[in-house]
Amino acid sequence: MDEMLRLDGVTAGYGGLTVLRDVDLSVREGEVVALLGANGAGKSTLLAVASGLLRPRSGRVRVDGVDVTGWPAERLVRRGLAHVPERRRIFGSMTVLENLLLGAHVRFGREPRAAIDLDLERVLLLFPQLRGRGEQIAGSLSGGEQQMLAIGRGLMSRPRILLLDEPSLGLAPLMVREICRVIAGLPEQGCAVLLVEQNARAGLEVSTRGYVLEVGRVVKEGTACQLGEDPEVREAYLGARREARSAAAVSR
Amino acid sequence: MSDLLQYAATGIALGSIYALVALGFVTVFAVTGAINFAQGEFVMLGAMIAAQLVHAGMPLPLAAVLAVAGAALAGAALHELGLRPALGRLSPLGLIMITIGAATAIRGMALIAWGTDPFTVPAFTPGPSLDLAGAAVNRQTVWIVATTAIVLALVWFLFQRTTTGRALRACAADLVAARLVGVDPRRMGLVSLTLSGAVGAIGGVVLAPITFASYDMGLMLGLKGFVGAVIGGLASAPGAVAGGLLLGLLEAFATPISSGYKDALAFVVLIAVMLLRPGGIFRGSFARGRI
Repeated sequence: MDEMLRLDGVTAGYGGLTVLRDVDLSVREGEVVALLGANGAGKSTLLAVASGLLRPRSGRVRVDGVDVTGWPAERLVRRGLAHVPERRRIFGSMTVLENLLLGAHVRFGREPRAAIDLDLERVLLLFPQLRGRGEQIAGSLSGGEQQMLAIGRGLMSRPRILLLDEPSLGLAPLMVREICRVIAGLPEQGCAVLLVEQNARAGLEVSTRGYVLEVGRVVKEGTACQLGEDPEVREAYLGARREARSAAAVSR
Repeated sequence: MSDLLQYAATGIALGSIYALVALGFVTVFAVTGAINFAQGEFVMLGAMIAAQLVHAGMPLPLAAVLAVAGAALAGAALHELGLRPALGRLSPLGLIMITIGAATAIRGMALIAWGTDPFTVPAFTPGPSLDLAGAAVNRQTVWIVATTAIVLALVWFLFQRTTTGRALRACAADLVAARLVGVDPRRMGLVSLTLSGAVGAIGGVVLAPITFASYDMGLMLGLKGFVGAVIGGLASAPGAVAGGLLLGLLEAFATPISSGYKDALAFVVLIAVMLLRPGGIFRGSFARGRI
C-alpha cells in the first residue's frame, strides 16, 4: 500500500518550546490512523507540521511519496492533503455553500464546475443534515452541524489524506456516532485519515491503527486491536472502569 | 431647502471619494492586517496621471484607464516590495511604518515628476450646472456619484460572486482556515492592494475636474478616507462606504458654519469614534459584514 503521509524524525515547536521530539509516523492508503494522547502531548502540533502550518525544526514530511518539508499549507492542499483543524474554524459569517465551495478553492479554474458540483453532492450524501441549507449562515449551525461542515469543506478539495483534529469535541453522543460512521467510510472513497481524538474509544473504534503520543514522543504504536487491549492504554485513555465495554467494542 | 439640497449634493460627492478610499483601507486591512496609509496617494496618482495625459493631448477616457492602471500597478508594487516581505514578521505598527514611508516616497516622486503646480482637468461633460429642485448641481458631481455607485456595485460583485472574492473574504474571516483550504494569503494580499489602488485612482480621476490635482492632494484624502473606515469599524466594506459618505455630508453641512475648520472636523469625529465607539458606529450586519 502507498504511504499517503509519512513523518520521519520530526522535531518541532514554538519559539523556545519543543513540542514534538523525533516523531516517526505514517498513514497508508486505505487506513484510518488514530493519534491518541493527553492534552498537551503534541497531537495538534503534529497535525500542524503535517499540513504545513508549522515548519519542523528537523525531520522530513512526505505526502504521497513527495518530500514536502517546508511547503506552506496552501500548497499542500494541491498535493491532496486536507486538514480539518481544532475547533473547526468554519467561516462563520459565510453561508454553508460558500464554506463548501471554499473547500474546493484549489480546483476552480482547473476542473470543470460539474466535477465540483459532483463532490458537493457527495458531501451532502455523507451529511444529509446539510442538504437544503446552502444559503444558511454557517455560524448559525449547531456544533455538530458545524463539524460536519468542517469535514465536508475538507473533503471538497478531494484529498487523498485527511487530518482530523478532535471531530467529536463538544458533540452529543448521537452526533459523535454519525461523524464516526462517515470517517470510517472515507478510506473506501480513496481518502486515508489521520484522526486526533480525545475520545479514545470512539477513535480506536473507527481506526485500523494507532499511535500514542506522550510529551511529544511516540510511545506506542500498533493496530487498533492491540492498542485497545494494551493495559496502559486502557488505563490512561479508555478508563479502567469501562474496560469490559471497550473490549467488546474493539473486538467487534 | 434648496440650500440644504445643495450641501447634500456636495457632501455626497465628497463622501463618495472618501468612501472609495475607505473601501481600500478596509479591503487591505481585512486581508493583510496592514493599515495602508498610502491609500490616499493612489487617489493622487489617478488624478495626476490622468491630468498629465490629458494635457499631453490624450482623449480623456483613455487617460482615465491608464491612470487607473498606473495606480493599480503602484498598489501591486507596494505589496510586492513593501508589505510581502514584512507580513507575518512585523507588528501592525511596523506595517504602518512601511505604508507611511511608501506614501511619503510616492508623494516625493510625484513632486519630482510633476512639480508643485496644480493641474486642471476639464469636466467630463462641460455645461451649466443642473437644476435639482432649486439646487445647482455641478455636472461633475453627477459623474462622481454615478461612477462611485458603479465601482461599489462591481466591488460587491467581485466580493460576493467570484471565486477570488470568496477567497478574499475567507482571508478576512480566518487566515489559517483560508490557508488550509488552499488560499494563498500573499496572492490575496496582492489582489487587495491592486484593487484598492484601482478603486482609489478612479476616485482621483473623477474628482480631478472639480479640484486642483496636485502632488500633495493624497495626504488629506487618505486621512479622510481612514476616518470614514474607522467610522464604519475598519472591518466592514459597507460600513466603510457608509462612514465615508457620512463624513462627506458632515463636512458639507459644516462648511457654512466655518469652512476653515472643515478639515479639523474629520479628526474630531475620529477621536470621538475612537473614544465612544471604537468598533464603529454601526450595528448588525454593517459592522459584522467584514469585506
